[in-house]
Amino acid sequence: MTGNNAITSKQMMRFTFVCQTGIGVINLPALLAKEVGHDGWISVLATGIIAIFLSSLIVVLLRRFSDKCIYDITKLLFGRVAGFIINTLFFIYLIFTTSGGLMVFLVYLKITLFPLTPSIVMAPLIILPSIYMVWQGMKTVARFKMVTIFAYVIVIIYIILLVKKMRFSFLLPIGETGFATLLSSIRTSFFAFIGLELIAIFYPEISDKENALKSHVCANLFTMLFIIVVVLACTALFGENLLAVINIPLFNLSRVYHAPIIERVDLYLISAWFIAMGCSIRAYMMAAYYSMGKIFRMKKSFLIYVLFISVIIGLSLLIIDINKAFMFLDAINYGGIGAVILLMLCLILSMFRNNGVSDNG
Amino acid sequence: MDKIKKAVLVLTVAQCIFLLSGCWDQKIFEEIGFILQLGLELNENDELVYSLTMPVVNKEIEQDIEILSTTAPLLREARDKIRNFSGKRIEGGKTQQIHFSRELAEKGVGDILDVFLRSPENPILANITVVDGSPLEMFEMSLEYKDKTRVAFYVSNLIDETRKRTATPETRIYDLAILQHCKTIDPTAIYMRYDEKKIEVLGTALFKEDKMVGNLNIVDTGILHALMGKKINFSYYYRENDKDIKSGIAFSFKLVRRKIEIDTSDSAPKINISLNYITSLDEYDSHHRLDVAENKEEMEMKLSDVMKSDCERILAYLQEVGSDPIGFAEMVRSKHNAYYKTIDWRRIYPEIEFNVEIKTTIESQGAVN
Repeated sequence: MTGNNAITSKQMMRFTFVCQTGIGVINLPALLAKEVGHDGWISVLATGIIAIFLSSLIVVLLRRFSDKCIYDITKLLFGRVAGFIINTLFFIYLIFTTSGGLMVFLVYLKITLFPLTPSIVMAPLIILPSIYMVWQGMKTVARFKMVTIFAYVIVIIYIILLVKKMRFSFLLPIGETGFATLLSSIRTSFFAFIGLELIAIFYPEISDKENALKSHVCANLFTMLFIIVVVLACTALFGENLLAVINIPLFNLSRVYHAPIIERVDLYLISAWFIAMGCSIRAYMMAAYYSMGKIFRMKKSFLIYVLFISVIIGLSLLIIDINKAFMFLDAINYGGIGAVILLMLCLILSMFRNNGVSDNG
Repeated sequence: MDKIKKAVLVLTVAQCIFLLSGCWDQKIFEEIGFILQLGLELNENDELVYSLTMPVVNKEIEQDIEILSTTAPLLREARDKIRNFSGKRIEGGKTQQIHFSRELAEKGVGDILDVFLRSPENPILANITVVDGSPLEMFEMSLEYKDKTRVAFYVSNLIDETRKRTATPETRIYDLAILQHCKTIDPTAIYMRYDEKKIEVLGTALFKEDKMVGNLNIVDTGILHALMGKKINFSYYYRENDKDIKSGIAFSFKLVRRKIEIDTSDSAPKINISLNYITSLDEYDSHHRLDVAENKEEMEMKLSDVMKSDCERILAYLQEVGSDPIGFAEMVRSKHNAYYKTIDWRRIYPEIEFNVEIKTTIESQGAVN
């Protein structure tokens, strides 16, 4: 635990929650409508339960190794060379996830607010707060997550205001899509839960580790509940057929509310949600920067930090086509699933190899 | 402050100075022409005629609205063509209403309004209306309405007021899009006409999928709202005889409880509709005393009977034109899904047997017995 990175388990909970929901929730209702029609919420519920189970196992693994993060654990379980390769792959995954998030953020900005402003101008400005906060350390990043709470409150308020416009018959009959289709849709829904693996990086920095399990389960539970509410609201409002052809349903949800006097009410939600999206990207950016120091044993260096930021921005500008950006996110989803599988593999291996396992682990 | 912090600060400030001094996406208010109304119709060559009204705020110009029109198969194409001669950058972000001519609505609105869903700059809260005639002619005629406000505001107020009395449905672009996509509830729209003196809301335009197939008057629209399970607020005029100069009773319907039961045991479903109205008597001919319980009960029964025949007439008309704005198909799909999958709803809809039960309770009769 170092001063600038030390966090509490509650801060880690908010960090995970915002990281999971910031980007994933925007187009997930549409992706699920394409796959499972009006049963998207069941898919999220099933995935949420799996995510809660997996997140518990991840904390159990981390507890076995007490003050070690995933990068130390892999070296202990797989050996120095293999461990270094796995850790490097993990780091690459984090870099691509950060860039992917920024890429999608830019795509959403182009669609909603700034169709003409070049991405190369928007990208540095979007991550300007992140550049400052990540440099300051995990404590600053985690504390800032509190600011995003109002974005979630705004979404909930919008949904409550729109309840009268919803047709709940659009959600019936429940389970029409069938078990097999629902099962295959878990892969899609899992994208919203990516971020549950980040605790494996920051675990040594958590000051009250005894509460880590409870907080991490709560983070995934809140993510599940929030996404279920959004998916239910989008499906009940738009119906599965229209929802399937909309690419930013969360933002379209806000376009539907007719408020007296105020026009373009959607801009309030979009602007507020951009903070949540920024925080989601920042979570991965923090994880990537922190990991870089851990894996490659680098000291805090301004030059390397500039290079790190440049790589993230550069990668995010590679793809401008929305379909390709979503394909990129799909690939990241597989990366996230791979990261969770790696953590589970480590847990299983730790049952047989006691190398580095703490006495009470 | 160390060197790094200074460098970051200077770079940040420099970046802001260079990049935030202007905006690629800025739109100067004075250079923009705001579309308030959009009219869509077909000309004699079956081309899509796109007309619009914009407010004029220049004191030197006598007219307070500008009307522009062109023909183009796409809305965006038409807007761009109008930009070529309007002298302004035309923007649709403030569009209040989209008026379809009845002729175009009957041929089908299809996905003409795609651009409104696709571009977040465009509002999806604009009202959808069907005009009995030509929207362009309506705009041009409205220039002569010396006692009315700008036509866009006049029509907006008209729509708001008639909607409050459930005399016309609330149909905005997103409603139309949702219902067109869902396939189990047919859309409706505001139905209106115009003449040299005024624009008048006539009731509801009924659609079968994307094509207009009929219309309901103001009072029938109120009853349709009750059948749809929506909030109601309409006046109903009951007439016993037409001999007197002043004849009939005016009722105000503000509350209804709807119950629908669907029996799918036969090849065509049987639908039982029960409407329980709470009403108040607003005007009477004073020949009867409503403080006598028997008189009041008799009046309630007569009113229930006539309301029942009105409901049956409306349902029969909806079946005849093949429009299902109440969403019976959606009810069957959601609650009797296995049955729904075995039938062709459009074929079976006209054969449905409706059993309507109406109960009205006169809650208030004003300050006179």
